[in-house]
Amino acid sequence: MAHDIDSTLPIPEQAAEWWVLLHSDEASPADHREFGEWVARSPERVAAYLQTARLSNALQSGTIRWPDTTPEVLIREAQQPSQNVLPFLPGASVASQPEQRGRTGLRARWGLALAATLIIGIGSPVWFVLTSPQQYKTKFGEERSILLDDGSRVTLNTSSTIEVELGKRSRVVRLVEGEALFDVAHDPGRPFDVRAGSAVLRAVGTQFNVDLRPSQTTVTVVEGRVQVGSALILGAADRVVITKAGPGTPVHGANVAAATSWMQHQLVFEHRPLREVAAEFNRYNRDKVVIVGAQLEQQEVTGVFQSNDPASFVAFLASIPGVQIRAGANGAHIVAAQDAAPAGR
Amino acid sequence: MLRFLGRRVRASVDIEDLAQETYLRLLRARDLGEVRNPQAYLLRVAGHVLLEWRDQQLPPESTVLLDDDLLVDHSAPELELEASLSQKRLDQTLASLSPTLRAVLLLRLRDQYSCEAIARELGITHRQVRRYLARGYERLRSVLEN
Repeated sequence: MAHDIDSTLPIPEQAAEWWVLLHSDEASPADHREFGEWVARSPERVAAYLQTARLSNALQSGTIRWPDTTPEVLIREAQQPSQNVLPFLPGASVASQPEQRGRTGLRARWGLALAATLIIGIGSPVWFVLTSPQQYKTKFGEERSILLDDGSRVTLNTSSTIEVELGKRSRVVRLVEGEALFDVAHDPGRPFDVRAGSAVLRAVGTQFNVDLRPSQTTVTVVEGRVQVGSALILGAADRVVITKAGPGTPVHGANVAAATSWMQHQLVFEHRPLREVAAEFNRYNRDKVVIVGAQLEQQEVTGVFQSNDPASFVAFLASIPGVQIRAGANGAHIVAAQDAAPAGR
Repeated sequence: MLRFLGRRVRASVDIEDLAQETYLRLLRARDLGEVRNPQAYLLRVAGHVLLEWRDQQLPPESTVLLDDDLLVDHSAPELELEASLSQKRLDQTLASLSPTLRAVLLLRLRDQYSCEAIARELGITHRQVRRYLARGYERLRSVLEN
């Protein structure tokens, strides 16, 4: 699966990605096969693909007028910092002269432009892009995937907020609340930093999940490498819990599928106490599950549940021997041992 | 290439109807698993449905069964679904894009650069070029007139 297409995207976007891939030279026989499986799943997918075909035809039909900006100018504009760049703090040192255009052919071609940048750089050493951070939010129970301008993708879990600042030399995403899966586009000249609570994470072309809770932040690396703070480097399947005191000892062999399962609306639990399982479920659903009694709270649970299907979870709880469930206020499900006191302890 | 696919079909075709019919025929095709290039096959079936709708004298379904070239080669038939674009909305949309996204779109669609050439020129990866393009198609969808 060299060219996996993100299945969390809306269907029209997936269709556009397929169109682009299948009309590039990079499509492999496996990609063609996968497209066949993808499209055969619903008429909606066929429609989205035909719609893209229709758009592509129209754009290539020769009946439209394109802007007459020359390719050279287009390329230069794309390479330049955005126009609202202001000089800032004369005298401060240049943090790092970017080497992001490392390819030799390009370097030769852009030598002049780079020289120009350096000269301006001496006069006003630090540049920064004056933009307010772009904020993305998901509501309760909502989940959404955002494609950033650098090609990175961030998928937000329920009730999550991020702020994104993409500069010429840095990419900073602040996880304000909630949980997000980062799929970072590789760009050595622009490190990708995630700030979550007290934790600062740096990624280089990688995919990782960050779960921000009041007392701790859990980072799980799916692929690639992530730097935590200044010293710790995590690799694939590594997980670390960061508290105010700093990062703990990383655990290797984390269950990556479980950490990112929320993207499929799945909650995966392996030997987790019922108290935690219920809390996890309550993140997604308005009708809360309340566990009564210390013994029941500590009962271990293993299973896979749909986060958007509280009924099946409640039914599962009801199947535990010795457990009874009754309705509480505001649609809550009170889960208690059969002989527990009705008010709960 | 089957030239008849190149003929324009009336613009009033409803994409949903076309997709529904195409989908049903895909499901009915016995040899679908053997098709090497499902997207070419999909476009061909859709093209055939369009033709049937355009002039009823074609025998339904009989002529678009799997051709040898669809089983073995990667030819991509053009599906001529007529569509008109709003030039004004196209101009506005292009002007609103980030410089990189605009560059990727124009270099690919106007200047016919390969994805590889664009990646080289802009110093980004192939995957990023594809993502930009897909994103560009998304943004440009609003300029299609129905």
